Amino acid sequence: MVIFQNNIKRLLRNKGALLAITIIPLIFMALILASTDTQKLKVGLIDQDKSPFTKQFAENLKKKADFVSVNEKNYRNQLISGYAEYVIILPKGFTDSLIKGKPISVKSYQVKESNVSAGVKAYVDSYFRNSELISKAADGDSDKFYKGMKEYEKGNLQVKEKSIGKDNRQNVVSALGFVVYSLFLMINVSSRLILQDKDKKLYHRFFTTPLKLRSYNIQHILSYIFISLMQIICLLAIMIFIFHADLGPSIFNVFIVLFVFSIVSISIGILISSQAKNSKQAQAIAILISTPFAMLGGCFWPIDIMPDVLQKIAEFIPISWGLKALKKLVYGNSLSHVMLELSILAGFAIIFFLLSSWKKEDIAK
Amino acid sequence: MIIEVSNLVKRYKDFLALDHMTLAVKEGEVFGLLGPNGAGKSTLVHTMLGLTKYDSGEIKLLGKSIKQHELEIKEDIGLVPQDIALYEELTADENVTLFGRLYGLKGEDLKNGVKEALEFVGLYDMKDKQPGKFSGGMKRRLNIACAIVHKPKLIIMDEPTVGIDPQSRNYILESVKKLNEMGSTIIYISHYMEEVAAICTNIAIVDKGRIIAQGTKNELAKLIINEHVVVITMEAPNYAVIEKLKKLPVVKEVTAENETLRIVTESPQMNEILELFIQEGVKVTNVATTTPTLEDVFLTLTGRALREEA
Repeated sequence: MVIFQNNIKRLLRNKGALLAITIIPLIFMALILASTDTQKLKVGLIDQDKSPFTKQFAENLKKKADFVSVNEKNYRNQLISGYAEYVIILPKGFTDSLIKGKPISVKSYQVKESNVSAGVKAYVDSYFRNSELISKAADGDSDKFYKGMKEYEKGNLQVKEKSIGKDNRQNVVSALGFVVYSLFLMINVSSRLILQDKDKKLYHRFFTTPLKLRSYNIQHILSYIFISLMQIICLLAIMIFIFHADLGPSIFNVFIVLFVFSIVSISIGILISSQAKNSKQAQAIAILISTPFAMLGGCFWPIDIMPDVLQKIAEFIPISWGLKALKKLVYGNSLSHVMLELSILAGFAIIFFLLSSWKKEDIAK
Repeated sequence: MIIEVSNLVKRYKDFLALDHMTLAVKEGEVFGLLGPNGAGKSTLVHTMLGLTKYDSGEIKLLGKSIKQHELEIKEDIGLVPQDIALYEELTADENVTLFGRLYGLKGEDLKNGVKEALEFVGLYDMKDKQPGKFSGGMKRRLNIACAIVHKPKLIIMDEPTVGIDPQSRNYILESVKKLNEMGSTIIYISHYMEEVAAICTNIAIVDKGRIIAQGTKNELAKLIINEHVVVITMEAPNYAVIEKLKKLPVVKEVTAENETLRIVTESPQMNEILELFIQEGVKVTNVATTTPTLEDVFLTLTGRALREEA
């Protein structure tokens, strides 16, 4: 494993590459995760009913969000200007309908979906769903309904407070986007080391020793896998132990997806390495590919916000499949739910490895 | 024989790089390999080390066929490549250690091998420095250390003195002699005829994929015993006279270095040559005769000057 160990040594001495593949993504990841608990949604409530129930609802909501004053006439402009991020309208007769067991409708508006708004929305939905259940139990009796609501709120508030406080899953997915980006940046390393050996005439010299070409290639790939594993372990450890990020039911599953993705990154690097004439050309290709692919693949923002054409293109980029799988896992799915994504990633890796081995090697050249 | 190459053929499409080449090198020799660009020297080394596949023929190194015992043979060979092939980001010690490990050294053997190799090339005091900070001569010496760390039986040196100062060149030439005295057989590939003449016990001249002459320096000189060398110095360089000299029947080769011409002739008579200078009105400041050198042998046999490619 001489070449393997030598590659690790070379990479550890290459401060620029280390900075690029770990520190920079780590900073962005940290910024996202650190902002999770400080953000509060600016919510406006238009209470046309003005019943004790709606007033109590407003009081509860104030604990979940920054309350801003909005009115029926200009709430749309207030949403567009960013003064309010989420507006709820409770129509006249809302409480009455609720107590009598009639269907209720709550109108809500928002400009963009975020993890914070998702949390508040979930709270509002849950509040009214439970209110409906209590009204059914009260069977139209207003006193019983309010009594039931009082009891519900005692427990509900405690439980929900905790749930919303921890509902930073979208941020976790965003942070994982940077972990994926970090792993994808490995193409800058895996595309260049062999070519650097060739540029320095070491490649040719190595095979004058008892070293086989296959062993040399395998040791290179293993060294990239080792470096990627270290990246995954370090970044996940920082997410879990420093930022207390909730990675879903199984951290191991997240690890598996990241590992499979790292193999795809390595295969892309090897493919570039096999096609480029020298390490400078490989570096140029890697730079040209890495950040645009990360953008298209959804490392920096959700794919859903991109135009349809770009979303279609993203389907041909391994990053998007890696992130899809990670999102599913963070939102509570098991490994069996991400088998399609994992299979597509594995397919990408196999294709890239095959393409890179297509070209016959003449050591002496 | 430490090297036995017989009827070796290597083709690159229509180009015949090795044309039924046959070569034998005895153990303990410093064997010089001379030849112009494209003569087949590099192809020969590449095929001997298994880096390039050959079309037909046979290669035996250290008594074993390269086809059947490639890795085993490589353990006993050290190549000093023409290019400086080192990691600039690793220290001198780490570079030599890397090659020591690739050659299969471990533990104390590795430690001692690295120390001895660095001491041998005079770089032990610089072992913790990165070669990026070394002079050209020091890099060349480190290049050699990487090839001798495992004390190989056969060392192939491909132009090991290109582009270095005279002091480092002398150091390397002395090192070659010492390595040979210590028991290694050396294949020395060089453009510098005086280096080959000074250190090689046996010399082969390669041209167009074939060995066109082989022997000791004296044996090769005998190949052109009937030829004579006249050195004429003119007042100023004159290229027209060179062309006319080449057309004279007695003249075999003419090489020019500024105003000095080196003329290989078949006759000791200089009348015809001197008459040409008078006819052309070229003023001659000095005329001398000399015995043929290895350079003249090479020139006569290949029709090309070695230095042109250096």
